[in-house]
Amino acid sequence: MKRDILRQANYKYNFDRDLFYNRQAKKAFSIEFVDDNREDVLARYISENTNGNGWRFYFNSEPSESVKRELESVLG
Amino acid sequence: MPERTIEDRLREEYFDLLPEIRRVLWQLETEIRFHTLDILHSLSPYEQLVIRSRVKDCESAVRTLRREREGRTFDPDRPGDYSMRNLPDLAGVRVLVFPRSRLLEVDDALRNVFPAWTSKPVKDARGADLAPKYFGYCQSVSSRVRGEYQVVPMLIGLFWDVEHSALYKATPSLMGIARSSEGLQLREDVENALLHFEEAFERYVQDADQPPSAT
Repeated sequence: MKRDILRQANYKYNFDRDLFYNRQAKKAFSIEFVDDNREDVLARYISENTNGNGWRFYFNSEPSESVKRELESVLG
Repeated sequence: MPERTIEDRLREEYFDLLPEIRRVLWQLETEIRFHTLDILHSLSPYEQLVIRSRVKDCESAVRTLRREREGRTFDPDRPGDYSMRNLPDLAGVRVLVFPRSRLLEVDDALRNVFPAWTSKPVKDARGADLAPKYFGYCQSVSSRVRGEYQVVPMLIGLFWDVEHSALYKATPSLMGIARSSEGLQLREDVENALLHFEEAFERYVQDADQPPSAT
């Protein structure tokens, strides 16, 4: 189950934004992205090295910079 | 002075439209009451037809528009992408019918009155039609605000009322419960139980109406 994979990797669910997020990894997956991708693809993105400098958003449609800023302020 | 947010603009648009939303609702509710009057008067004592109407409240409308986007976030650089006029259900009427055998009759009667309206039935978890739903313009009243009506099995409609006020209205963050896999399963179980009750009730009434067979 995709949600189990995310839970095991310490991702929490933000009900207001419908995102799975991990503050330490600084990654967020939209519910649409999770629904539309296979488990192995999801696992690959979870383990992907992003250098951790800024948040990385896994969306079906790339969010604009202003949306990213808004989400970053919400996710902390 | 702080910059106005997209939410601020949408709230302003909402209150600009509100008189029209109310007029659409009055028109729609009145037409629906008029065109279902014959059915209402022909109901058996155990049958019911109840018409309810509501204006979608401002914050609920803002939330609905926000939820259409991945990440549920308005893009502040694209304010023109969002408008209250995109919502089909600012003015909404729900016709609750019991038992379900009356639903088709009500649906047909209203379809003849609003033939050009777009059909978008409410689906159950498996994708089957649960309740007919339509939206469109009451041209004599407004060309900016659409109305919506749905014809719903009464037991399911009353369940939706309770679920909506508990999970959506009181605390929007509880919406996640409704959308979790467990929440969806519970909802499906309740809807199936209510539909089974109606089917059993209708069978019982049909059997009771049968004249006793000659022996």
